[in-house]
Amino acid sequence: MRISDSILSANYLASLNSNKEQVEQIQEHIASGSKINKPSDSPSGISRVLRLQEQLQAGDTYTKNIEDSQSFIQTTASTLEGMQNEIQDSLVLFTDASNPVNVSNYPSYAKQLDMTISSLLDLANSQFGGKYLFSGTDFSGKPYSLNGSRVEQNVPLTDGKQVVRISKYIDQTVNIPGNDLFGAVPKPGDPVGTNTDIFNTLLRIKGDLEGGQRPSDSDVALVKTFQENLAGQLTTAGNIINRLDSTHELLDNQQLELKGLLSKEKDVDVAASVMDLQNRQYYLELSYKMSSMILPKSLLDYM
Amino acid sequence: MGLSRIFDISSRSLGVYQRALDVTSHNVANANNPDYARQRVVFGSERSEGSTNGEVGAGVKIDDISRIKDNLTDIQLRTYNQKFSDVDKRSQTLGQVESLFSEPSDLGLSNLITSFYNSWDQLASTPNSTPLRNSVIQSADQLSNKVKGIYDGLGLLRSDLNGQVNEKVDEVNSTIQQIQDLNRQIKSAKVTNQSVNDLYDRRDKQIDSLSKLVNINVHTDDQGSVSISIGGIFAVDEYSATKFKASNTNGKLSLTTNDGSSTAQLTGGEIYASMDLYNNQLAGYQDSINAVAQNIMDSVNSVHRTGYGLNGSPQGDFFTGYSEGVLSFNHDTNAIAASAVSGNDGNSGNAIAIAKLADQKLPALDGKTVSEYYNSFISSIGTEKKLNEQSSESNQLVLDQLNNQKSSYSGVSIDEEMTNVIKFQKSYDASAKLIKVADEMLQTLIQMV
Repeated sequence: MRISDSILSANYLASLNSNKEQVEQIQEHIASGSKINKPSDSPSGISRVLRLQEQLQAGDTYTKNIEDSQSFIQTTASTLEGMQNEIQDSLVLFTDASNPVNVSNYPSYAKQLDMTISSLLDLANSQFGGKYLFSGTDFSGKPYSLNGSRVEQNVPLTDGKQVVRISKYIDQTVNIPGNDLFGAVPKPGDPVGTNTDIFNTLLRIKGDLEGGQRPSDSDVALVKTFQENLAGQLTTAGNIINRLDSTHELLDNQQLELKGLLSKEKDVDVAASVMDLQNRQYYLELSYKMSSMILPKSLLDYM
Repeated sequence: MGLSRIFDISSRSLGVYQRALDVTSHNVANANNPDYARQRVVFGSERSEGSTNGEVGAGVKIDDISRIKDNLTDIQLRTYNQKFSDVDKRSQTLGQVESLFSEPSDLGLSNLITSFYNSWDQLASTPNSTPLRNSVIQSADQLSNKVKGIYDGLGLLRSDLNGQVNEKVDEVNSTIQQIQDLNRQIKSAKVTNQSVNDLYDRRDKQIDSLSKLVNINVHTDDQGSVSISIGGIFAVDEYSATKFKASNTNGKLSLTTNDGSSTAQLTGGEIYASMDLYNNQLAGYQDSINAVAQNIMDSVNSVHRTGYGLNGSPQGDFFTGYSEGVLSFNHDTNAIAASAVSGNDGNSGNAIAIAKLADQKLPALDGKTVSEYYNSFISSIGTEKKLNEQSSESNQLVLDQLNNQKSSYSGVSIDEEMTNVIKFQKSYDASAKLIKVADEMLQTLIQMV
């Protein structure tokens, strides 16, 4: 083949350019830490990267939801435990009241019971993060309050279930609705009658004690039923906490696995890339050296 | 036969080798001119004269100064010029398209779509929370801004392409005009027996430039004049040249004659690539973005309408409309219908239902979820860009090879030219020496008298 002068320079430039392009690409990979910086770097890889990022992001949201819910349900559980203590004290008080020698103590028992009712009401109106623990899904106001001689429910419904998504396929209820816990509390305007909810039952017993009467067996039975229900609801809260804990753990593992996959898909093997870069730079320098040695030579130099 | 013949032959020889050195110096001067085809002096012997002592040669003459050119390589070069310019333009433009989408990054639409749906999931944990409601509004705002950014960016690219096509068509017209002028100059130079080699070089350069812009067909006649057609339409010969323009009809660009009577059937070159990108590819990308935004809007609205806002009443649509990249939505946080039960501000039913739309396969998106549709759309842009990039690289390699072939055949080698310089100089020296010898012989004769 006849070699003209422009062939030498054109070939030299083409090789030099190709070397520089490869150096530039390796440098970009090392600088960004990622093999996929634009869709054309790996058209099939980009789709997997986007899907993995999407799953990771959703996982973060579920984890956050679980952590918020854990705090909420733990507060609920400790509130239920507080109620349990109050009720336990009341039941002891009823046992004392059933002893005829204590009739003279009834007014003091009534005062104690009054304090228990106030505490229970406070606990029933507890909030966490702007949400009432026992008002179902109606957070428009305090759910329960003492109105004259009876406790009333201020919001229309207290049986709503607060549902939170804790994974793609799990919608978890994270509250104990007031209705399930306290029974049907009368609403303002409801006709006066016998209310079986815990607040009005305790109020009735208090009234009996104030009137010098022993608490009726039926009312004491209602309080005991409430105590059993309370224990049941505590178990429910415990189950929710366990469920949230185990899902959190599962999600953590999933997230770790997803991060591993994402890293495999897109992260650069820095050591290999640095070696590659050094290799390429070596060739680049060699090209420069060759150019200074060979390109200007021609017969002209020897004439 | 007299001594004067030696003077005659030698002086003619001096002229011939001086001319040969002229051609060599012209070659050397153009050694780095990529459009130059080296020239070669074709020597011939002068017609011999009869003599009683047999035939005696009459010396040397220049038969021709030929231009060393391989037409087959030129034709292949033009073909690959068209292919390379086409795919290279596509590769460059698609590179700009890729950067508009900012994938894969936190600023990409994929991330913002997921964030939008996730914000509803988070809202479900505390449906009456104002910060979480603000977060829904904020993520919808980011989504809407990105959709607009991409749509407008694609629109801007299309309008740039439109402008570039107009400039390139002007270039086509001016190149055609120059080719016609060169055709005429070549013809008149030939008539007056002047050298046309450099005019051929200039014309070839113009034809090569034209082949980078559009697909052309070149025919050379016996007189050395070329006639060229572009996409099946006559463009130029020595007598006339057609003026072209870029016509935009119903948002579709085409290359037509100035009077609009004929449309060129383009299949290659930069103008073809720009027009195809403008007419089909970028417009298609805008349609895909429209499909993504429209389907997010329709599906979210259909669920949102069934829910209740903080005031307990139905709130209608969340997204209030989508048109040409603008996805509008209701910015009132109280109007976000997170609750599925009227008057229950803590109910999260509707927020969860909207969050679950992220996994809903939509018939309008070929049975894919919004994210799946978008991801495969991004992947297709990446594939398209990579294919064009690879095609551009492989065509570049072929072009490099062809240019090497061309250069090997037509390019100047300084070594070769310097060898010629030595050769011609020696011949020139020898001819001068002969004149001196003849002179001495003449002096000898004169002294004898």
